[in-house]
Amino acid sequence: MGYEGFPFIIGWELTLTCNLRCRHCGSTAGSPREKELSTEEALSLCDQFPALLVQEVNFTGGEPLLRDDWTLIVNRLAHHGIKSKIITNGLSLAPDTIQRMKDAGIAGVGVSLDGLQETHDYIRGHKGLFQNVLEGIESLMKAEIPATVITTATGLNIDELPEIMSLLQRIGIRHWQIQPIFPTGRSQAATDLRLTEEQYLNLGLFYQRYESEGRKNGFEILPGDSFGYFTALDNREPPWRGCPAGLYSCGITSHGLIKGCLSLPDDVVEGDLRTNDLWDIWFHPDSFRYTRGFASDRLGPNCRSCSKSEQCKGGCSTMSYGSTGLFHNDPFCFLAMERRETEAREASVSSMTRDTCARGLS
Amino acid sequence: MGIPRFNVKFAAVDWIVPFWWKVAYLIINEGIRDIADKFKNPIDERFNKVVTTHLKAYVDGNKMPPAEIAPAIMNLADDFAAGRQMCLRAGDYIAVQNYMRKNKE
Repeated sequence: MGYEGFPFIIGWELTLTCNLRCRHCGSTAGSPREKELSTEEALSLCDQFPALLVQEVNFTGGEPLLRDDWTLIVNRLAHHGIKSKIITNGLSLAPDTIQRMKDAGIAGVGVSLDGLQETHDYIRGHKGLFQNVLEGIESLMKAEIPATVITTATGLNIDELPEIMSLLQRIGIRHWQIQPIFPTGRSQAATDLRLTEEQYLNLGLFYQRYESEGRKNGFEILPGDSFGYFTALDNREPPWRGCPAGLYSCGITSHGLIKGCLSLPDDVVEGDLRTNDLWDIWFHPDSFRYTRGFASDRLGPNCRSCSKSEQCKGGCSTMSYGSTGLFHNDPFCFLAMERRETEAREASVSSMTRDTCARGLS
Repeated sequence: MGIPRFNVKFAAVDWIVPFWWKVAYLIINEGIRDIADKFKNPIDERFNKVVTTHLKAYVDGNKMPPAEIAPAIMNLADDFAAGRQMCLRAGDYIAVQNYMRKNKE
């Protein structure tokens, strides 16, 4: 029996063109890719979605709003009854753009905010952007377009999270997604942005402390990918069940390549839409082997001996592959980190005991 | 073995497939079911037409569907004959779509 699931959610990199050069960008966005899909190709791709039961398309980039034909694409999807959402850096959120979003029936906009003013502008390499983003969010809210703020948690902003949260609550934001930084693209060189193990655990503590309190007040904190797993720091229900790439979601690059997830490096590709259509790529028996063909003997050394590995399948594919070059081997795991912490403590106690005994004997 | 005949005439075809989420019936990953339940998009009209045509021909006219989609049509017919809500299995949906793609329907 072949695979019998569908790509209900698609991430679509409309263009790799970007008007920023963010230090943490996993896609190394800036210039467009060679031979990005034409308008005609993009619209034709939209027409392939209904048969695959696609329900929602999330446009990313680069900066998706820099592509002139985004409204045509959104309208074509709307014609098929498919929801569109846009993730933007906020620099292009001018009033006329927001009106076009409203007219096109955009279901939601994700706006990136990676710190308080100084940090955000530094990470994004654009002075004054923080203020632009806040104004853009305000305009989105006035237009009654659902807005989610997306923060990439890094070594530079981890201590600012409580203040960012207060700010977002003050301006009326209801949804805040926090995504731990991936070691891919430009962030590979930005060592100051990487999260240490301690900072990663602090991120979990932050979530644990504020998530339920926020929810009671109508403010939702949404952990992104590679956040967990299986400790009190992440008690989501249902618990994490493994990477969905190629199971019910996939990504499309701006030049028509299919990936399980757009955050994965460009060498993890399943097919080319200029050679095969999405149906054939999606249902090809060799596609998405790393998730569809998961078996416990594929677990990497970080996860092999873990009792939860059958359930989480070795964590986030992007974090795992980006950090270790292997799938099913995610080193950013609360459970593993807490175990390591306990083992280190026990080793230290045991060593102290040995020293004390040795001194006693001598 | 002959093809079963049904006493009830297959007239009310409107309620065949406006319930796309039933496609999630045989999906492998548990997580998909949670997601599938949130979505309500209808299946497209061409698909409805193909299924309806062959189902009606099978139920009313005793005409065997093409081999590639016979299991899909007969599963639906079984549901119909048993008085159950007709439930389109994921594998059956894929088989019908493959049939449509092959025959450019």
